[in-house]
Amino acid sequence: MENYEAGKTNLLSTNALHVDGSAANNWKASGGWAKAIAITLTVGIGIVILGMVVLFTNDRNTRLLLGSDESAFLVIAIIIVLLALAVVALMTINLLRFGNGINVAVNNMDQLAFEKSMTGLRNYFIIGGIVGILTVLYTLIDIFK
Amino acid sequence: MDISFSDEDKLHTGVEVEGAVRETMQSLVKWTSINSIIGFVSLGLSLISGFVTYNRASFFNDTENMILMAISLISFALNLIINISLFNFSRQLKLALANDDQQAFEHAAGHIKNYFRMFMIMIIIVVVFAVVTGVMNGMK
Repeated sequence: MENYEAGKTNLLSTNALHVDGSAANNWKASGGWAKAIAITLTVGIGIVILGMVVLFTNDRNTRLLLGSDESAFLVIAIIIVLLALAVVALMTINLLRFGNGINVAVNNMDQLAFEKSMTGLRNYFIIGGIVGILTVLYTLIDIFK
Repeated sequence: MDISFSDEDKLHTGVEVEGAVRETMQSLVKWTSINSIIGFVSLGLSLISGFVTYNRASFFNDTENMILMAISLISFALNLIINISLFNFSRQLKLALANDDQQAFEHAAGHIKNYFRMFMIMIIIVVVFAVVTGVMNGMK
């Protein structure tokens, strides 16, 4: 009986890092968790949007909120919430791109899908990093103000 | 002619870390490192502000506040684990890319899995806490 080490020969002929064995399992599991997080975030975004729609489609509420002394503050608050939603939506899209891409890459040996999934993961951390830097700066300014 | 496949062989995907993927991963190392450092700084800041607030409000006398503090500590511990996982991912991936170290690459994949798993657990805790608080406020 000849025992061929299928796939291994080709992959190990180069010294490049490769996604197989436990690495493949772990990347796939990461993709699954990332998708779960993305779905939860999407539901969260939906609930916030729904809450805002309910709040502002009620004439009485709108008149009460926009007619009050704090209406300028309220408009700023709404803009901040919408901006935050857009940022979270961007992060969610990139998480989904990573989750779906890594699954396709591992299951179908698809190098292009792997590239796309890594780009999604990198973009997720770039957005998270920028938001984190801004948040820490704001906190520090607030402390030493 | 028999061809036998071991379990490990079945998982060979033919996906390699070369070219554009390598460049993306190098950028990923940088940004995950930045994220984890920001995470540690944020945790430090929240710890300082937490202690200041608790001392001012003589926090330890009230049972309800003690529960709140316990939840804050759990959240702090989870955040710490998340950031350690991210930091380890960044470190191992950097090592893997620098030396073409397959073992480090596998460790990195394990750390990113832990990162997302702990992140999901924290989201579940936050959602449960929000629901319980909402229900309790509704009952008052």
